[in-house]
Amino acid sequence: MQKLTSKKYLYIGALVVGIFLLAVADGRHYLDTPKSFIITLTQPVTKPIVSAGKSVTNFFSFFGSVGSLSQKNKQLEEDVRNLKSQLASKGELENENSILRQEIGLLPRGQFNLVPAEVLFSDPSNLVQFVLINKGKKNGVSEGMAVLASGILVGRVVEVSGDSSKVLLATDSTSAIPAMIQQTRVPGILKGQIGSSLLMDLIPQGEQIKPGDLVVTSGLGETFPKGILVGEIESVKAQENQPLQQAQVRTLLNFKKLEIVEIVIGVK
Amino acid sequence: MKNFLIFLIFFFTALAQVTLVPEFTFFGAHPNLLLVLVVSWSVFFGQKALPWTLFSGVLIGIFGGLNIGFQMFAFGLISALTVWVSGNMFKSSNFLGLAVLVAVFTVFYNFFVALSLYISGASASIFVQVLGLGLVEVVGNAVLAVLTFFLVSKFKSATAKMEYTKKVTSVS
Repeated sequence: MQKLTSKKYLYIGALVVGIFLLAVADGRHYLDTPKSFIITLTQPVTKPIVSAGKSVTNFFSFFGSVGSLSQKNKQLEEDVRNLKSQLASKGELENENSILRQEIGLLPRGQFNLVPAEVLFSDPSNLVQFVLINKGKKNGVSEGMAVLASGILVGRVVEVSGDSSKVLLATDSTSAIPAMIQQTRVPGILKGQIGSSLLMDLIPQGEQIKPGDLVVTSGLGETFPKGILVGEIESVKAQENQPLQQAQVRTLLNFKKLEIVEIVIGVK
Repeated sequence: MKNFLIFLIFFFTALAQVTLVPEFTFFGAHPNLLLVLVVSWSVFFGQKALPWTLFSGVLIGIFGGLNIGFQMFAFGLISALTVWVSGNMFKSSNFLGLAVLVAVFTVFYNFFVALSLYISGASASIFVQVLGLGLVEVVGNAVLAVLTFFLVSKFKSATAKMEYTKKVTSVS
């Protein structure tokens, strides 16, 4: 009996040591190649599962939204009119801006070199906000690159293997992005929060910010290029007697339903 | 044959967890089907469930964002605790007992993940945020536990029947 118990402890000890070694190996990226191989193998199985799931949820969400379709349609038509007029004035400003840049000897404003990628997996936990995409080193992806969807910031690449990469979403609780209010250039740091929302922190007290203001990356720290849209201010948390203030930021993407993303691999 | 079937069950559950389940997000949270399966399997199969729970830790470590070792340790610990708790507190497997176990271990797992995030740089407020979201997940997981309980019990009785028939055939 005594022998059996000590054998059991030996097994448990060996198991714990094995798990610890695996944890260290994974932490130091030694397992990236076998992980990437398994992910590549599962891709043919994954796609039908994902499309089946999307069909089911789309079916239910369609019936859930029938009542509000007419109202939504009116709102969208109004948005299209507003955007068209903004686009027209934006075109004028762009022309004017490029002429002025030429006159003062600045280089033309950069456009991003993008590599499109498909989202394979989302992290199973509600607390960690990662997605795995099907582009890696072979496609020119490297760690730290910004990832967009429809021109809006999604996050940054944190792990790269041959054919896939892991993207830390902007909404992850360990993510911190230097940002600013587009109109007023008020700076702050965007922090992810559980539940796919964002908090703009470290905003200097006394700066005027209001709901609806657009938040873009500030380019500080050089991880994210300047001027990428992230979201809009939802509410301002007034903190009297504090040197800094905070604001809740509404994301313009549904981070739980990302399908196609674009990796910024350079600036044209 | 039996082991291959169990392999497929865990493999496809892990795959569904990272692809299909996030589509069913309510109030910012989705259920953790794999965690429910780990707890259910441990209730029904006792210590024999441990290798499979560790395997599910490996799978979720590969498909998800957290470290493989961390996931294996978390699932292994949950499995061991489930075996111990279900052996000492619930004399017979029942729906309510399993739902309670799943709810408790959902909270445990979330705090475990929150702790790892806190160590890797998240602010202390993460523990407060976990509470709200964890409650939504607890409800989802407890509901799923009922269905999983039913399916795992069916699987157990079917495989027991198969083994019995095999024994009888070999004796005769």
